[in-house]
Amino acid sequence: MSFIEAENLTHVYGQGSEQEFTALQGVSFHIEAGEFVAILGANGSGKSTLARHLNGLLLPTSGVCRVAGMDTRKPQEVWQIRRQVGMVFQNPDNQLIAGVVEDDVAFGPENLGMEPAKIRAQVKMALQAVGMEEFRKFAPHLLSGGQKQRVAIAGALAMDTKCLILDEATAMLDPQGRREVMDTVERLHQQRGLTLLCITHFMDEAARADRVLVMEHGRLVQQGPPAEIFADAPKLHRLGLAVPLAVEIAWHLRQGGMQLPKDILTNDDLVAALEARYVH
Amino acid sequence: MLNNIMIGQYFPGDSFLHRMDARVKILLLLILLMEVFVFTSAPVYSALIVLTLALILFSGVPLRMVLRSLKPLWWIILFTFVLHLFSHPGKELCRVWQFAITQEGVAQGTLISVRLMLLIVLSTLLTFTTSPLKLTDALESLLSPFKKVGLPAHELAMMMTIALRFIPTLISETDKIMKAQQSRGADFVTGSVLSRLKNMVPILVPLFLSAFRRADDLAMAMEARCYRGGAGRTRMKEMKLARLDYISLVVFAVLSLGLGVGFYR
Amino acid sequence: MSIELRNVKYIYMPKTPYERIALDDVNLTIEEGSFTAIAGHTGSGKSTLVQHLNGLLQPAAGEVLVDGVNINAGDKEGRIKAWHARQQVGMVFQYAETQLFEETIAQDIAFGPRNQGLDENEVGERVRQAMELVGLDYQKFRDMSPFALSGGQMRRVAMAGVLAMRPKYLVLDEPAAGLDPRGRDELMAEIQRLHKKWKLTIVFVSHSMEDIAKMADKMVVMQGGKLRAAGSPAEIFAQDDLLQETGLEKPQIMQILAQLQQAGLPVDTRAITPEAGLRSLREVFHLC
Repeated sequence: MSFIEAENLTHVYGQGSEQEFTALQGVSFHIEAGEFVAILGANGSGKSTLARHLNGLLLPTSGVCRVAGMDTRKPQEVWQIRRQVGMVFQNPDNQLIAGVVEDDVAFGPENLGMEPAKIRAQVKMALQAVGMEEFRKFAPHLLSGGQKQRVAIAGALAMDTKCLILDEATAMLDPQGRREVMDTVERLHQQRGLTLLCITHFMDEAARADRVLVMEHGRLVQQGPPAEIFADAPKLHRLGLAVPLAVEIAWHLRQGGMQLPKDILTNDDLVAALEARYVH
Repeated sequence: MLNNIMIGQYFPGDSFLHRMDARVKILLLLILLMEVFVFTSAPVYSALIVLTLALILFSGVPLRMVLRSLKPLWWIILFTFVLHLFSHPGKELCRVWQFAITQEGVAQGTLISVRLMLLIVLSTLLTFTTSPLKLTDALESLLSPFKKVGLPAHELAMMMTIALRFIPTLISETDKIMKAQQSRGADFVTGSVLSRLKNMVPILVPLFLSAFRRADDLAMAMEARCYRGGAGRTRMKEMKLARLDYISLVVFAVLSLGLGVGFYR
Repeated sequence: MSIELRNVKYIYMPKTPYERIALDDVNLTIEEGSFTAIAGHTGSGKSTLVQHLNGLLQPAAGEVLVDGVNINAGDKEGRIKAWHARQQVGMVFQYAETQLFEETIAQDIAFGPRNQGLDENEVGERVRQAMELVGLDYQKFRDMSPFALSGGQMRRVAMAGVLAMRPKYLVLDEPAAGLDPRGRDELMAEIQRLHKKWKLTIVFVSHSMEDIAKMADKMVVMQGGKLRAAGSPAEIFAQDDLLQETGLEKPQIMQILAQLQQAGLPVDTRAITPEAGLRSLREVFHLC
């Protein structure tokens, strides 16, 4: 059994109305516990709709979504699912509820009915895990975008989440904030085996994943390791996406007749490959 | 333009007023306000003024900031005072045009003005020394006995929490939209009241749309974090009365009793 | 002709506990016809700076001149001239789509020109032209609600609303923020076309060193409310110390080239765009 199993997910908004719109069509995939998966796709390709099926915020029009063996359509199981699958949304300003950082992190555990002493321990642990404990008394509007997103991550960790979905959580951040958030979640992924699902427009973030899913018009059109997905740069451009710069450069050099390994993803990969090719 | 609005009135500190349980503070404030209304004699009022000044001193909030809270109501206080000057028959002091200022008028005017000032200062002292969050928690707790008669105490408190959280966000949003429309030549300053109201449309429409979008996002985020109303919910910060609160309650009871006895004797 | 900032100082929330100097003695000239990028950390004063360019914020000290006219002039005669001077500077805010409010796209774009007091014929003409400029088909879109569009298209409508006022200088605060890669590329190409074809002077705030390297001919670096450096992007990106102190990164291609140079490859580390970097790599490896 995989941690997340999506079978033939289809979602139709406004079914039967004039504005009927099929946002997801027959999407199937599995995600293993501890995996780091990136989801790519142009705006409107159905990425966010897909993500919202994975913690039962949306229910499939047809098809099934199971998390840790539980069905998102069963009302008695959905709370258990949401506890295990935390979500960080795009706009850092619209997901913190309380006027003080530590109270916000406590929001999830409070909803779960934990004992006050246990909540305090969870909040402390979660804020430490994202490096925000010194800001625990701060009001959210005094924090930077990256810091707000880290608080949102802590809010999920405090519920003992097993999996974190970042729904374009870095899209509205400056480069520093983006780095803060990605470093934080990658560290959690490595140290705690947190399952990571990253919806993003930043190809460098996707390049660090174990696996990449590519969406187009509500369909899952490609999945595989990043090197494999990015190998076909023209195809990604056709889908309205991009590839990491190192991949792009390598692609152009290959077009010029140069022999380079297929799995170049990062700057370091490219530099190493070019160094090896260079005859002093 | 909107930057100058002070957000909330909370003045962080560590005085005993800050540390006191917010529910106790609200109750004591209510008692004090009642006393301000019930008693009218000069000695009791002097005692209340001294008490208020002492509280300000203990709170660590600069007197200047407390007085500033009177500023928006300064005119009302003055108006009430002047109104009372002329409207009480009694021993005439002097005449302005054909209206007489009486000794009783001066006394009554002073009493009412002081009463108003005490009301405002004491209430602001509560908001100065209590964070909005503690205030909402206290209200939820104080109102919860009324849940039985159908009062949605939890929902009210949650709404207040969210409103407080989003005030700064919406203020900066308003500022941004105003600037964007000003850049497109919009004018919010000149013109008749009606045309100025009409000119607000380019601000209000985007602002409402944005507020709805935020509400949508927030509802989604709350659901994702297992929110399903107040039932079964616990709180990280339990509200427990500490020794300080009991002492304050006792001291206060004695003081109030003293005032009452002093007045009716 | 130019926008000129002379010793501009701005104090955020003066006389409150939150008082802070947000701009400190900034001197800057933006020449007509230039393409200027403003870079710097969040909170370095970039947005405060650009809001001075059309009088949204008034300096506490110093002055802002547009084509030689003080745009914050207070006297009666100066005020009218100042108003006209401010109209020369169009401002597109971050996430500009949030400022839309009218029922149709054409109506929304007409808001600016109408405020300028133009007659309806002229307004209609301006709307049509502005929509063309941002690549929105006039016939197809004019009667549509702006809220029926995608985020990227809404942003174009907002841009058209500013362009319809025919500014000489166009200021954009992170115009591509939040768009997907294609949306980004298209919007940035659009801005480049406005600069080249319509001779608009562009000032843009950006966190993307790639965009700056690709498009700007002048780069301004802000830090702690002070103008830290100004020059061509190539000049700025060549100063490692400056970049480090101001928390900016070199464009990725420069990072790759620098690594290669360290490894002993004779690459041209002055290349700031991927295209130039590729040229250098092709030379080094004798590719066609």
